[in-house]
Formats: sequence, C-alpha cells, structure tokens
Amino acid sequence: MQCPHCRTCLIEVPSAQSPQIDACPRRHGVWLDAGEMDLFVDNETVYKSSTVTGAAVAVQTATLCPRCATLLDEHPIGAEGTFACPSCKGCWVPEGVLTRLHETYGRGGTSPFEEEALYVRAAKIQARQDQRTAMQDVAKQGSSAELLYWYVIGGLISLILGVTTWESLRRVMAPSHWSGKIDEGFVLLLLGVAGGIALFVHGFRLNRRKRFIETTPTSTIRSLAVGLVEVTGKAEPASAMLNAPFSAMPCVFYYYMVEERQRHGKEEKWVTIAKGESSEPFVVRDATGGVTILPIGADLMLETRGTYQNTGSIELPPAAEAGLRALGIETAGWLSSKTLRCTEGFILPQETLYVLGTAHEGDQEQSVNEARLFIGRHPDEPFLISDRGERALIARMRWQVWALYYGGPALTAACLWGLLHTSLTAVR
Amino acid sequence: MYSMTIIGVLLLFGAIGLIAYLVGTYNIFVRLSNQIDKAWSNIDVMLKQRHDELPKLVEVCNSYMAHERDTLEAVTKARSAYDRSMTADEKARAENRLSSALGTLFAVAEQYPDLKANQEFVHVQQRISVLESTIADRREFYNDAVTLYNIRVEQIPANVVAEQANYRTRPLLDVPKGDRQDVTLEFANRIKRA
Repeated sequence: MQCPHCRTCLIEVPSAQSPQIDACPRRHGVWLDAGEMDLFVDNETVYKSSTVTGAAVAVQTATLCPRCATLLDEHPIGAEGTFACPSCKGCWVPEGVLTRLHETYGRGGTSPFEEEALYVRAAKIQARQDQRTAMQDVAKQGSSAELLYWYVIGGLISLILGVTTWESLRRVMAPSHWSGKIDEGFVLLLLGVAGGIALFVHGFRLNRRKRFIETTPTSTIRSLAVGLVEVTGKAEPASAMLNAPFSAMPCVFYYYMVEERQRHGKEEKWVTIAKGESSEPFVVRDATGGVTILPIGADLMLETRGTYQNTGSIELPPAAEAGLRALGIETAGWLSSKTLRCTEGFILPQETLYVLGTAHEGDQEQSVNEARLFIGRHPDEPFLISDRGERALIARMRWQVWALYYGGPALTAACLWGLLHTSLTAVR
Repeated sequence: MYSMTIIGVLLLFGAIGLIAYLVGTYNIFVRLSNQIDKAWSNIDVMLKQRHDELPKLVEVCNSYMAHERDTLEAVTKARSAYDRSMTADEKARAENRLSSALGTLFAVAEQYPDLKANQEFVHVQQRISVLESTIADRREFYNDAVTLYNIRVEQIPANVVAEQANYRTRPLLDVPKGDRQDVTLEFANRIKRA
C-alpha cells in the first residue's frame, strides 16, 4: 500500500496485542482498515453520532484508497477531517488527527498506539528496509558481476582445454609422421570430425528453438497481439481449396520434393531436382476466432503423406505424372523413362495445427480477425508450422537435442581417434 | 597413446556446452521477463479501450436508469479510480472494481426493456463484452507467461543462474473476488430486493 500523499509505501507497524497499523514513514498519516478505528475512539456509537456527514451525500475526492484503489470520500468526524473508502470501509487519517480523535473520543485510557510512536517506528522500519534494499542493490550488481565472472572463468577453462588439446595433439604427432596417403578413408574420418562439431552446434540451434516453444505461452486467437505468438487451432482454406501436387488431395497447404536417380561414375544416387511448397495463405481457427497464416519461409514439421516412385515396370500414378507435368518435369529420358521419387506432405482442412510465428498487422484482405492481424515470418524470430501437438513436438526435439549434444562430440572423438590411429606411424 | 587428446577434446566440448548453457539460460530469463512486461502492456491497451467506451455507456444508461444512480455512480467512480491508478498493481485492482461495477450495471439493465432495445446501448454493450473477453484472455496469457517464468526461476539447475542474475518469482494476477461468487444467486437476490 502506498501513501495517498507521497506514494511512499506504507509501513506496517506491528503490535503484540493489536492488528498492525499502516503508517506513512514520512508522517503524512495512517491507514486504518475496517474496524481499526475502534482502537482509538470509544465505540462505534460515539463515532457515528459525531460524524457530520451521517446523512449527507459523501463528497468524493481525487485520492485513491491505498487498499483497493477506489476513490476515497471525505469523512469528517466532528471537526476532524478523515477520508473513508466506500468499498473496503478503511479510513485514511492525516497526521495529528488520530491523536485529537483519541483525546476527544477515546476511552480515557491509553490506546495501543501513540501516533507519534507510530511514525517513529514506521521511520525506523523504513530506514531498515532502505538499508536492506541498498544491500540488495549492491548484491544485484555483485551478482551480475559474478555471472560475468563465471562466463570469463568458463571461457578461460575452454581456452586452457583448447590449448592443452592442441599441445597433446602436437606431442602425439611430434614422434610420428603421416603414414598413409590422403585416401577416401582419411577424407571420411576428417568429414566425421567436422560433422561431429556441426552436429554439436546444430544441437544448440535446435535447443534454442525448443526453448522458444517451451517458453512461449499459447494465445487464444481473439487476444492475439503484435509480436511472437503461439497458437493452435483447426486449419481452413483462406479462399479456394488447393490440391496436393502428386495425390491431388484437397488441402489448405502442401509441400513437395522430386528426386531423380542419377548415375555418377560407378555410383547411382538420388538427386533433388525440384522442391517447394504452396504460398497461398490459410486460416487457423480456435474457439475464439481465426487468424490468417502466410506460410512463406516457415519451418515445416509436417508428416510426409505420400511417396511415389517409378521403378522398372512400375509406373507413377496418373495423378503424380500430372503433378510432375504441372511442375514442368519430364518423366521420359533419352532412352527410357527417368527413375523419379516424388514426396509430398499437406495440411488437410480441419486438421489441428501448431503455429509459432510473428503476428503482424495487415490489410483487411489478408486478415480474418477484427484486430487485422496475420501470422507470418520475422527475420529475428522462429516461424514454425507443425501438425504435431506442442508436447509431442517438445518431446521429439528433446531427444534430438540430447542425441546431437552427445552424438556430435562422440562422432568427433571417434573419428579423431581413427584419424590419428590410421594416419600416424611412430618414428623409431 | 591418443587417449589424452581424445579426453581433451571431449572436455573442450563439455566446457563449450556449459558456457552455452549458461548464456542460453540467462537469455531465456531476459526473454521471459520481457514477455511478462509485454503481456501486461497488452492488457493495459485493452483496459484503456474499454475505459474509452464507458462515457458512452453511462450517457445512454442515464436517460433510462434514473433510479439506478448508485449503480451508475459505481461505474463512474471505478473509472475515475482507474484514471488515478499509476502502478500495475493499482491498475489491476481498479480494473477488478470496474469489471464488478460493469457486471452489476448490465445485470440491472436487464430490468429496463427500453434500454435493452436501444441500439446504441446494445452496440456499446457488445463492444464492452468483446473487450472484456479479450481482457480475460490476456489476463490468462499474462498468468501463463508468469507461470513459465516462475517455473524456470525455481527449476534446477536454471535456479542457479536465476539466483546469480537476481531474477525472482513474480506474482500472478488475482481473480476478482466478485468473479468467484455465485452469479446466479447474486442476481436472484438483486431481483428480490428490487
């Protein structure tokens, strides 16, 4: 609670027998909760009979009740001015008034609180609190510095470990020489070392995305605000329904990939010759409303719905061939038909989606909600569309992150060991 | 022969991982803390919008509800109290009182068929109703944001970073006492009194 005059926090002055009284440490007055006035005046009857405004309309002031933020009413008691809250029935008593009230309407004995003593004790408690706050501020500064200190220590440890590892490597290599030529095995091991490091780094990126999902609360679509948002709801087409490229399934969004079996020397491998996704917006709707999703640039975590491949005598389904023709991909080669593999995924109408992206303000055509918002990509924020639930998504990412955290270093260590073991020969 | 080198490499990965964890955890606290502040600002925007609708509501009600001066005054007072409130805590409490006063006003308005038929009243009532639903959603979002933050602050081992960086748990927005009462019963009593 704050003093209505100076906005300083009121201090609760404790007492062994009575309830705590809230006093302004700067001596502007005290706050009495409902019933606490009885501690200072004889009884309620005297209090009421002396109230000038007994039957009159209360005069509202511009002062806020410290307890419930209602505007206080003027509430004179005899010749003394106090301010009463019509809501919580508490009373603000300016400095000096409490003593005079006690003298005029008191029981004749001493009250559990002398007003002067109240202010003195409040000031002392305030001083102690100020001192504690100052110490906490110092501690806070110290804490930030301490955190920085740990970062520096961690950096130094990494540096020392790096130097030690390098020195260890140098010592291992010093009495040795490269025994073998740079063959395929050597290159594979070297790629393994680099790949392990890349997997480790990718683990951190994935963990960052996982943390974004974990720490962004799900909004109802009605209450969306500009910025990073997380919504779940049923998918709907924004305008006309789309058709998946290879199965012609009616959908609101699709992605596809076309690979061709190609021969390189003695080897054959799949080469991606086309990939893409639909760019038409669609709508996600929950119980409170709908919002347009512009899927361009989104990271998709969607189930693969169909893979079609022509091998030997097995031809592609007619719908897939039509899809390939629409994409401008010929199925016939020079001498025989190409070996193609077509993969597609799509979002069906009324399918439950999870979307993490940035809500932007748009024009009326793009948006379907009253706030004229749509969800799209922002260069500094993640943009994810998934047909899995949030929990399933997090559970899957958790395993991936741990696999990358442990698998990356393990791969690097194993390949480095293999590299040293196979390529170095001791010089005797 | 190469074991020291391999152990060194693994320890290096571990040290880099530890630093990245500390930095990542600290950044999460920064993000969560700002998320809470933003969630409160988003509530405040809606409160202001509702606040701007109130003069129209009181004006249209005044001509029909001359005998309900207390009810109308309660709304006006609650609005004035919101005007005076400065801190988030004061605003939240003033907003609770305003919601309660508006609830009473709409309940009483049920007894005035002419008022219910007034197009302007219907429009303002719908507008306020939509805003109140949005406010309720955003309060829920705010509490979700605070809960996520508080869980992180108290979880092991993130609590070590929170302690070092002086991030403390934050309070949730309270549900107004009036919202916990039995509305049907309260309304029935009011009708009886009328």
